[in-house]
Amino acid sequence: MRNRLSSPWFVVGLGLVTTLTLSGCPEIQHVAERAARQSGDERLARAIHGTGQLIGGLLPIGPEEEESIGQAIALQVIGRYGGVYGQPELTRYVNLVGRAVSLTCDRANIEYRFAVLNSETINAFAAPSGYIFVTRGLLKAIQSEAELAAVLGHEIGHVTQKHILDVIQRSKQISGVAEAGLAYASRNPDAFKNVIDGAVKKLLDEGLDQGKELESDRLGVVFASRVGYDPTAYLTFLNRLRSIKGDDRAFFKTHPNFSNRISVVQNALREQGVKPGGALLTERFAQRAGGRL
Amino acid sequence: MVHRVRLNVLLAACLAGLAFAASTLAETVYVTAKTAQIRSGKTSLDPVVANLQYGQELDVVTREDRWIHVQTTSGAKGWIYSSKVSSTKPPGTENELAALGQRYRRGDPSVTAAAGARGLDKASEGYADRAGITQQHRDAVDRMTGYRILDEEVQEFLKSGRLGEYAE
Repeated sequence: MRNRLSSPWFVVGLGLVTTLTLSGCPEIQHVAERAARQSGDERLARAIHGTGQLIGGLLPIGPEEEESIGQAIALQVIGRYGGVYGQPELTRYVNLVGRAVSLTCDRANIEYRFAVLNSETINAFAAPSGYIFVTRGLLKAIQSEAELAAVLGHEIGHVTQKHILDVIQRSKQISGVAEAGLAYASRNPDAFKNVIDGAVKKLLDEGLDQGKELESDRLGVVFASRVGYDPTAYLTFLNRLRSIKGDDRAFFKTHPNFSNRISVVQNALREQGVKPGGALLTERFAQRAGGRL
Repeated sequence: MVHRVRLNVLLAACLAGLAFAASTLAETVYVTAKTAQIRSGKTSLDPVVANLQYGQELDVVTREDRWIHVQTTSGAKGWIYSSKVSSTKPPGTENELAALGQRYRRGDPSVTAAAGARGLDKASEGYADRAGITQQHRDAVDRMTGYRILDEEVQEFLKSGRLGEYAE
């Protein structure tokens, strides 16, 4: 019996598919697939088809896809957290602080946008493509602009490290949608909904992996300190939250405990050589945010 | 005479070697800020020599405090605040692999293409329909997507808070 895997057709076909798929010509992939099928080699046709899908599924998510995913997740975050708080001046202030921090983050070339959620709970979220949210309750717990800068820096860290996109690409739910992963999802609105719902569940209900949260803690203080904010403000804030939240199980379902976070931030400051000192801007925060909450 | 020629050749070779070593040892940094300038002096009040782009490559001439004296590939020299550069090249918008994946996966270009400069795109609009998102919340994301703050406004904000390069 002839081994089809070693046949010239197979070798040429796979080479052709790999080359053409990687150069972004799926039409030609279909031509190769049809040619293999017409030659009677169904196995090769399936291999060409499968290889192309696999490559498409494994390649990173592009900027337009990221924007679609970010918008869809933002819709759910706003819907589940009481809508956007209608205070234009407060929104503008949060955006200015966030934009200042984002200017020197590790992914400064995307547009970061910030909104305040009309919720008393203490929380913040980041969706892909720079959609970042803080709750009104969180702003009430903050006492200086440096603390706000570090909190926004933490959320920016989730975006720079593409934490949600990583969740999506690793998701079994997506690989279960089709072998092609996002390929199928982006062409099928129902599948896209499954992808987003899975990501929202992870973000809002289950929480990201603790490693991702701690990585964002480290990045948050580094980004804020690059702009000139006092990095120790974040430690002050975490200590305050620890006293407010105590051992609130609901909160720790989605976040590492505060002692762990404080320790990680202290280590990061030491390892990065970030020295205490810098701007706190307590009064500016009180003037531009305090009275509007 | 022959000795003199040999000596000159040797000297030229040494100079070429030194020049090569200097060029390979030169420190390179990349602009990591969305907007950045080099200035004629080490303060934010000094005149701007050149505007730089995200990801632009710069040769380091010298470092002093939190400022770096750099030279662009076109030869312009000036000072830049250290937090605006990094020794590693930042990720670009032109991430070829991501763009390729997107192009490959996008059977119908209209599925993910933005409907305009602002607002929900078709994929997220379709999601909103299927998930029963209210018009109020769609409008909120729509406004968020279109929210713009000029870089000059951010610079003014930094200046009034004495942040970044305006701290000193």
